[in-house]
Amino acid sequence: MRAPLQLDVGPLLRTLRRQPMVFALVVLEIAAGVATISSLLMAGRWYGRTAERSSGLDEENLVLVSTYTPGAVGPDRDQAAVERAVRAQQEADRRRLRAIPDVEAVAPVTITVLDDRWCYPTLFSGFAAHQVGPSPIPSRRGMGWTVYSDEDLLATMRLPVIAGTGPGTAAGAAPGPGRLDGALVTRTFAEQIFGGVDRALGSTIASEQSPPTTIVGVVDDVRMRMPFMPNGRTVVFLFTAAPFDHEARLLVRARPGRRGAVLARAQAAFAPEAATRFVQVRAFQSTNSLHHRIGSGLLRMLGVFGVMLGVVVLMGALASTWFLVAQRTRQIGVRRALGATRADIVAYFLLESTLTTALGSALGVIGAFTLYLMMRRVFSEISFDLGLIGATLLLLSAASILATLIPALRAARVPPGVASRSL
Amino acid sequence: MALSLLLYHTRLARMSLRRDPGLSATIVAVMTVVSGIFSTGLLHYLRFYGPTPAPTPALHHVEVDTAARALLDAFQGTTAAPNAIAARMRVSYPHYLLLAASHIPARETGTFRARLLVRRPAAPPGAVEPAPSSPPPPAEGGATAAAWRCPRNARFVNADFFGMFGLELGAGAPWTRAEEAAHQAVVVISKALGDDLFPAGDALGATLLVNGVPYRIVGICAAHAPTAPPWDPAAAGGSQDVLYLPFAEHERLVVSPEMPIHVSPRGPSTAELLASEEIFVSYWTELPTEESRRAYRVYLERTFGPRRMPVILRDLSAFRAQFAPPPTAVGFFMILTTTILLGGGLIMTRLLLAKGLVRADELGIFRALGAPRRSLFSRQLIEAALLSGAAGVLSTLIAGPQAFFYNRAVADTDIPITITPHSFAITLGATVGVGLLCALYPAWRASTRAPTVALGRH
Repeated sequence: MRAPLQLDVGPLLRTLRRQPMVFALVVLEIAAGVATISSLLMAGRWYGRTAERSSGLDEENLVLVSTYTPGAVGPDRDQAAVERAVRAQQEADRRRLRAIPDVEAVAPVTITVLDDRWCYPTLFSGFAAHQVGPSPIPSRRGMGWTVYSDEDLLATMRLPVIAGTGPGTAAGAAPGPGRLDGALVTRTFAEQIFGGVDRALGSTIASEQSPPTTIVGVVDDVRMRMPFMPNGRTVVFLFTAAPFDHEARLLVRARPGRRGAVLARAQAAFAPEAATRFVQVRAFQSTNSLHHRIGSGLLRMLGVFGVMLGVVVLMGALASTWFLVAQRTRQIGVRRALGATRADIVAYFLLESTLTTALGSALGVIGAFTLYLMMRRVFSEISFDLGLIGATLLLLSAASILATLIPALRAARVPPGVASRSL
Repeated sequence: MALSLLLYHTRLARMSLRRDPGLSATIVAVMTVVSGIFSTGLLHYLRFYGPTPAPTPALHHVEVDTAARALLDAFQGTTAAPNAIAARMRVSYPHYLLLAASHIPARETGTFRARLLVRRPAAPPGAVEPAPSSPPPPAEGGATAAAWRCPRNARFVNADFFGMFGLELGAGAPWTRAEEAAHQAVVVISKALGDDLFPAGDALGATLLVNGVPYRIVGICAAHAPTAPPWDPAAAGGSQDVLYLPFAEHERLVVSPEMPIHVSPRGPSTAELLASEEIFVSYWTELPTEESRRAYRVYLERTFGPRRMPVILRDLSAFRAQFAPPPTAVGFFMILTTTILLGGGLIMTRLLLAKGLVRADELGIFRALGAPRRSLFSRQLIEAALLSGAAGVLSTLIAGPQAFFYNRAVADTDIPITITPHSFAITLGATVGVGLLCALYPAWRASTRAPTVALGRH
């Protein structure tokens, strides 16, 4: 009858005591592997998710027209005249786009998720409706992105208003910027500043950029800046005149299925102006953005590095375990001569490997968490991904077992006679 | 003597390497991969935090304490971290005008950034396109080859800027104070713009259209602009400045400054912006002597004291300490890739230990023949240095393609990632350093092997 497998940890502990440095090295190596590979994977996943983040708009039939209308003062040094002329040109662009067949609506916006232009978010103070008075107390302050637009915003962006009615027309106001009253905010903004959508409605917001404005509607979240930035979904739409800028962006809503035709017509309409000013007409797609390119590129790069590191750890473990097992040939022979079966030998090495892997993994998870704390400072909204940590542990454990199993199986074939050869 | 001993040990170490080719190759492969990953992190780090033009040490930066300070708390720890830097270090346009009116004989410059359109004139050589006094009318017919491309970053500076910050020009010279005062239409362009628009290298003296206005190119920068410009750390990251224009030209071009920090609501026009408290100009002055510093402080006190606005005059080292760039993903990846390099070193230690075990007999015999421990120890270290040195050199096989991929497929800015002699030397030094550090224990173990062990086994 075959003897049961003996898992005597005594020899193992003795070996570890004899070579504590080697043991410590293996543990540290695994810890470094777990910490670095899981951090690479977490960063990679963050970039991947960032790349996939869209504007939140119904993009299928949207076209973005970006213009830069230059202008310089003449001998009269009249800056206001230049500004008027540039604004008139921007308004003319809008009329021209509206006149294109199959265009449903056109709205100006000052920033979009496709822009790589730098800008800062604005600090807003919220005043709950019941607090408005001579000395209102701010409910809460928070960062938000200000977008200037006009009455066609809702139709162009297809923004679902989840509370309120949207901007109303100011009494006696002429068409154009400033015709509408109030501000629209996104759901996230309402929750962050006022603690809820209903509480935001009718409340007032003010910033260092804009005077106190009443919130007349809350819309579903949209992202108006590159998703690398936090607070991307805290957006405030204002309907007053935007600060003067040579640059303008017009969002064009085409009829369903007609985006290609609108795109072609708009490009043709603006082509003759290529020598006098900058006009770019493109399909509004988050996947054509800079953030998508950066995110997906870095995801690929970090993924390749993760795989390379995995291979390195496996290769290093395999090579050194092979030689360490070979070095213990006599020891194995003695154990075989004393009655240890092949399975005992394999089990011994696997137990040794399991112990070091477990200790290394535990240290590695602590290391990964430390790196995660650093990552939190620069990767907005990154999470400590237990799934990726688990996957890394699984991968390295498998690599460790594989690196042990192959030489251990070879060691198990050592005949008991080896022990007496050099005696 | 020492050299010949080193060469002797090196020869023996090279012979030892050949004895365990499998292990040696594994060590080189492992270290090549980790060194390649480290090098990649380093290239990104150097692009962001690397050497910048050397400013003159007498530079001083002026900060005016304004209402924007109230924003700082809110900006800290948010995406607007650069806002905190900008809000503290920049001043409003009216304050810039006051600072620039000191009449103290010192070099000084204000600076801010905006986006402008740039292209070569389409007109035949010799003919200059007239400056538009209003937006140019749409051209008749189809698009010409000289179409405008997307807006580029332009920086408005005073004539002293280049000398104060040591911004080296590869050709030409900056405009002078006299040219600036005479409102000469002159411009210094970046190396990138020169390569882009004037591939034949004939940019100097040529005409460049900036927002439709012709400017004469008087200088071309020698290298790419730094990612984190010392003159404006709040503008770190993103695309580089491709144009440097005389400060006052912003009026002619009616520019909208990039990222003004809002302080209070203002009207939409540029005139209202320039009259407002909105913050967007960095102001620097060069005060080489104690006397000049004292005179400038007196001027600041006299000018801003009655307005109850505290003014801070900071020298360059204090400025750098105060306005360190905020933490970035680049810094994190530098830490991560350094950890990876050290982790690779641990693997190398294990492999060197295995090498020692394999060559136990050989080392014992050396000891039995009279080789001192120091000699064996040195030989092991030299062997480790040769292996890690080879890996350091081979790491360019990983970092090179990575840089190529990054510049082509990711291209987050127009400042490319490149392997330079500087980056190569750091990679090689770090790899060999880690190799030597990790070889200490295996070398010590190998050198302490008793000669009797080897003799007893034979």
